[in-house]
Amino acid sequence: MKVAIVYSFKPSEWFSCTIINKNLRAAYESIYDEIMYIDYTRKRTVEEEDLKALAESGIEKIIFIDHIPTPVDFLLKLKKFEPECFERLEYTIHVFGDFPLYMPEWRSVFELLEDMPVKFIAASKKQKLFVEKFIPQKDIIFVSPFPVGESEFSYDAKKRENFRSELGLKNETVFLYTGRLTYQKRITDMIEIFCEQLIAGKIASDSYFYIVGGVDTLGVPYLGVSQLLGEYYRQIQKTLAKYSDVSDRVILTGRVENSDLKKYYCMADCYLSMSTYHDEDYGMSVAEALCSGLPAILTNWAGYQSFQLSERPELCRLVDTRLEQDLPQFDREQAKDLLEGFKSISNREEVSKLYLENFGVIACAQKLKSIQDTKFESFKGSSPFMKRVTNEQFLRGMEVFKNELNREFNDLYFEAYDVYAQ
Amino acid sequence: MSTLNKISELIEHINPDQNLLYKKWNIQHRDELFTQLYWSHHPMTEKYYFEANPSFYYEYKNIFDLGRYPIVMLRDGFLGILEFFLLHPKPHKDIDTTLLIPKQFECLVPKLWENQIASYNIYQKNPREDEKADQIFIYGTPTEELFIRKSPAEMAKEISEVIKSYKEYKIYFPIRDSILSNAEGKEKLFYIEFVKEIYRHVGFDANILFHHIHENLKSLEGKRFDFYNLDKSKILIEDNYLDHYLYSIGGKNYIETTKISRGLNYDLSKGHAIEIQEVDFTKNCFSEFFLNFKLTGQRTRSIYEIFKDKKIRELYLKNFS
Repeated sequence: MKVAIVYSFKPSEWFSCTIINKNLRAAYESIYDEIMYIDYTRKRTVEEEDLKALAESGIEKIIFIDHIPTPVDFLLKLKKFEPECFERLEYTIHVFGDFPLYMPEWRSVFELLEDMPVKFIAASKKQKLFVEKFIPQKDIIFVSPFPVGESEFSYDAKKRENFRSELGLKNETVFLYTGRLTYQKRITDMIEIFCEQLIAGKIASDSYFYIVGGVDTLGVPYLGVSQLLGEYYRQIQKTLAKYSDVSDRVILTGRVENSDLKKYYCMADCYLSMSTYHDEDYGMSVAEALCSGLPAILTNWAGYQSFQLSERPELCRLVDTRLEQDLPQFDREQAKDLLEGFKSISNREEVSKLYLENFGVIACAQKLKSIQDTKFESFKGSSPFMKRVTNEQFLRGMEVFKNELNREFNDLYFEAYDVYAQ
Repeated sequence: MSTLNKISELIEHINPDQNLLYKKWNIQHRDELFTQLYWSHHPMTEKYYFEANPSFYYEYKNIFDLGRYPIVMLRDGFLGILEFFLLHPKPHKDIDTTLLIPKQFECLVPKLWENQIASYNIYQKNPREDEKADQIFIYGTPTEELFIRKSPAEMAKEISEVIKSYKEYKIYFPIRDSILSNAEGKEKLFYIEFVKEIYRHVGFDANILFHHIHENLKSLEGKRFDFYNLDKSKILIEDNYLDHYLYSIGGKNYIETTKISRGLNYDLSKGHAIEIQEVDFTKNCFSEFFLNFKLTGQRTRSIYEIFKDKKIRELYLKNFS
């Protein structure tokens, strides 16, 4: 069977989205014999010839696998230049974490696709709950994780041994965070928790906390809080200075090449992330870490919850979160207890296998196939809540969830994001 | 309390929202011409964060505006630093602000400022590895101030030498008018001359970027690369945003910058840091410039006038070559 897959051939500014895109293509390639790839550029253009080829191909399914741009301009052009093809197609749209940032565009997408056969695919259960606030038809929203490449991430004991030796490590416990170093990812909080437990003797005194990634300036856009170049790095330095006796146990590596991440996952003993980032629909770094057989301690925030498997919950411990006026919070005492109670595991290959069976390309391909095998329902449009958020966003842009009087979240925020903290 | 102790206290206890100019939303430039200058050198003039309040002198409306801040780290090059001291050869009695000025221009500081001033030096924490990077990013704004010491042809030749040992290179220079130049200088269109010379020395397929800098910089993140700032004269800008950005995404400076002596040290990123130290007054050259200023009989001077003054240009080349 033949399908069309639409994405931007130019890599995304968000590296994780580029990887997700590549792995989704690999998953779909294992399902379909023939795929027509269409370049829908970051500048929202699509070649008329490509649309013509799509119309002439007889293809009946089209799948959008990129995070930006939203499908709106593609659909408008398709409807204008190839109206019969537009009517003929069944639409599948993968929803990413930045979905709420472009509400007016999604509203137009929804209007264009009204009464058409459509499926939406969220990357996690909590994201599905989130998307349901905007799309009332629960049965057209499915869940399939973003896949992890089996050939890129799995446990390799030799790699662990070699890299540990390169770093001068023997039997020390290594906690690891990988990803962007940004305010909402709560890097300074993690450093505080780690250092406090180290000083209190609650974790082994020779433990390390490796933080792998580049610093960014994102701040909290919803609250109109942006950061300057170097601001978050200085906050991290100030946090480390508070714990000068043990700060040498925290290693900031800076950003590393993607091909080097596996050795960090293999070398470490526990993945740690206390993120309360608003676009945390999934957590590609976490998925890659777990697929490398690395147990994790995470916040029970948004997509992270999906990583706790019911058959082996001890491999991925979750810390309670709650929404607050200024930023979502996590239970620091619970996080400290989990760090204290952490024990390294020996069966890393088994953990890696288990997670690849759930999050690997092959596993995800099966999920995507079963989603595609279900009957397409006719799309009935957006919810009243979406209309409210869209109108608010038209007026206030990115600060849609900000109280107009201060730098706190408004009621709309609590209504939208309550499912991420449950 | 020594100046360095005072600076250390200020940096430790700063209230960013109140005490840092770049955390304010309503920055008012000294005049419209500076706004043009600021944008003609953007992104080199872009804001960044450090608790010592890095900012350009003309980003303050006047000396009293500057005086509202407990500490100001002047990002200016020669022009801004000279103008400041020509007009303020001694500290104003109502201004308690502590100033940080670039180490290489410390000889412009009048002795009377001794208790209210220190110098800074931004340096690379770890030297470039013996194993060289595969690519280099070269940048500068091709306006008249870039070519004070070297002609476009000489600079293009220098670029062709630098890139020889790299597999890949990118040359970034935004095409901008020379705001500071006089009418004759403006007509010279330095960027056209520079492009011609680069093509002549590097080849007609030279990889030059004139815009879309953001996308190109993003692609360097996490890679092993060197960078090379063409502006060594530091006439207008000493403290360049792109240097900070490139250090912070893992780049190594082609021009080795090292820690000079023991002062206050603060990490600014994984790759670079700043040191703050007492000003060395032993090789002072302020009087030469001040005498020249007094002889003009003028009471005010601006960076625009200073740039066009032939005598000052001579003194600059004599003292800072």
